[in-house]
Amino acid sequence: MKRIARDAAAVVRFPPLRAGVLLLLPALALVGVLYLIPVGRLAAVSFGEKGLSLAAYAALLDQWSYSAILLRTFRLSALVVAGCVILGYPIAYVLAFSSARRRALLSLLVLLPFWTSVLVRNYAWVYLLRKGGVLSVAAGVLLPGGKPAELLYNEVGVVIGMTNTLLPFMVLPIFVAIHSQDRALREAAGSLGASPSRVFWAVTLPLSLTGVYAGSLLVFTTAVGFFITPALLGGGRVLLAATFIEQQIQEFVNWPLAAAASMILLVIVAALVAAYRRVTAARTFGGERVVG
Amino acid sequence: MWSAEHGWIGVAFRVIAAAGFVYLMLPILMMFPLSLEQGSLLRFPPSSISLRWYSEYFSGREWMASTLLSFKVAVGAAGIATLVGTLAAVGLARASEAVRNVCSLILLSPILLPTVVVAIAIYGVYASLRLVGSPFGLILAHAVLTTPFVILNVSAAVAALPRALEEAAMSLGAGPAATLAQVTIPLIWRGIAAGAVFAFLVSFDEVVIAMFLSGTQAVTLPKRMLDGIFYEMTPILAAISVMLVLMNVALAVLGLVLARPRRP
Repeated sequence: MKRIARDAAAVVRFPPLRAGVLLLLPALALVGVLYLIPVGRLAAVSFGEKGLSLAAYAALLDQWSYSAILLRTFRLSALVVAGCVILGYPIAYVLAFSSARRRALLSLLVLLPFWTSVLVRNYAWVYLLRKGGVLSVAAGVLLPGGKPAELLYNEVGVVIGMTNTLLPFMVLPIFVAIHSQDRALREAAGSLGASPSRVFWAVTLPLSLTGVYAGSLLVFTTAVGFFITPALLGGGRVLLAATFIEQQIQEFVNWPLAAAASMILLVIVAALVAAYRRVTAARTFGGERVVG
Repeated sequence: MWSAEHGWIGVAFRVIAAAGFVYLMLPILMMFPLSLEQGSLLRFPPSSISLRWYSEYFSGREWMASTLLSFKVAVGAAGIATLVGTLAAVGLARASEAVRNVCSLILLSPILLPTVVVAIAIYGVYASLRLVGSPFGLILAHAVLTTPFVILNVSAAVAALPRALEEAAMSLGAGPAATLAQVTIPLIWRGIAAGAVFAFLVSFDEVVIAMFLSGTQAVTLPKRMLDGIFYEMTPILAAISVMLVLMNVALAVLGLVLARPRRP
């Protein structure tokens, strides 16, 4: 009896809760010193290096037409999302309805590119898309005019490269949304006389839309802040939000302007992240969580 | 079988998916033939096959110095990230819901927000501390970026851990530190190892932060490759890419196997 009391006291004396919060401190210190403070300092710089001013924001929108750059960034990101849905949905669908062994093999074709250096993949696209290369000649044959198509150092190349890089981000949530569906729903539809295509349009697709929304937000959010692909495949001619910020620092050493541009981008991305968290928290009518 | 079950839409999806798989793998597979070219220009198919550009890489002093630096930075960053990330993941699992939501958002934000913003923010601070071009500075910056990958992997392992095991240890008189070291960590080591592998991988490939923080003194391998992409027309970058792809594939498979949930 005494022993049990002592053990109970030990549990009370070391409440797991308080110790748990202490475990967070090293990581919070690291992120605080090397991330929150620097970003906070950047925010301060955006409001003027001496005193409080909105000069950088005004210059950004007036002289540098940052709003046009943001619009271009959104437009290309939306194209990338569309490309990722068109290719990603069928990939996720095939993965979800494959046998376990086949799925393991096919999912490697999605995961290996995901874990391969973005730099390597974009370098490959610089070669593949160059003028006179295989793809440029092939596109030229298919398109009217018959001349080799310009695929590199323009928006076309940037969209091809970004879609390639971000496709795995779309496949994974859609796969989860299709795979977690109860097959009894499809079987019920089929046994009531629905054709396979009708089962898809009436059951599988509507139930997988949360995955499409989650994947789209994830891809869009990442695309909006993307740097390497527009820098390499745009060749300095496709100025997007991230490449603009880099240019302001490296070429013009204009800190207030780069800081203001960063803050605007940060607010946009933070809003998208918040939207993403809402979508992933969405529940189906059955009550189970569809997207992790 | 497939067409009977999935209809014409299923067949169309198969065709598009096949094209999608080719699109995903094409840039990676393309590097292999390109890297074997004997001459000084990228050519497909190679005019004559040789390993010339592999040996040029291994005998290039700058390439070797950058590779060694990338290894050092990735090991250092992954080491720090694994330590603080593991503790944080265990802590998050024990925190109240409000603390968990706020802290996980803060700790994961370095991978949620644009890397370019993170990079110039750190660059601004480093410039005044004279840390630009310092390997130590790169290690710290990469540790911030890779800690989320450790937290995600370890959190998954902690979530699969029956709480009763830790409670049993504590009720038998083990303090929190002993419980963590002797019960929790041995049970989640696979998740920790997976997090460490992915942290190493992310740091080794990272180029945006390195672009700002490398200076002229601490040029990592991806930074040197980035510098070379526009003027280095020789197949040496293809040869390096092939080796990076092979290393990444090996590490990613290792990480994925470690992270795979196991049935008790």
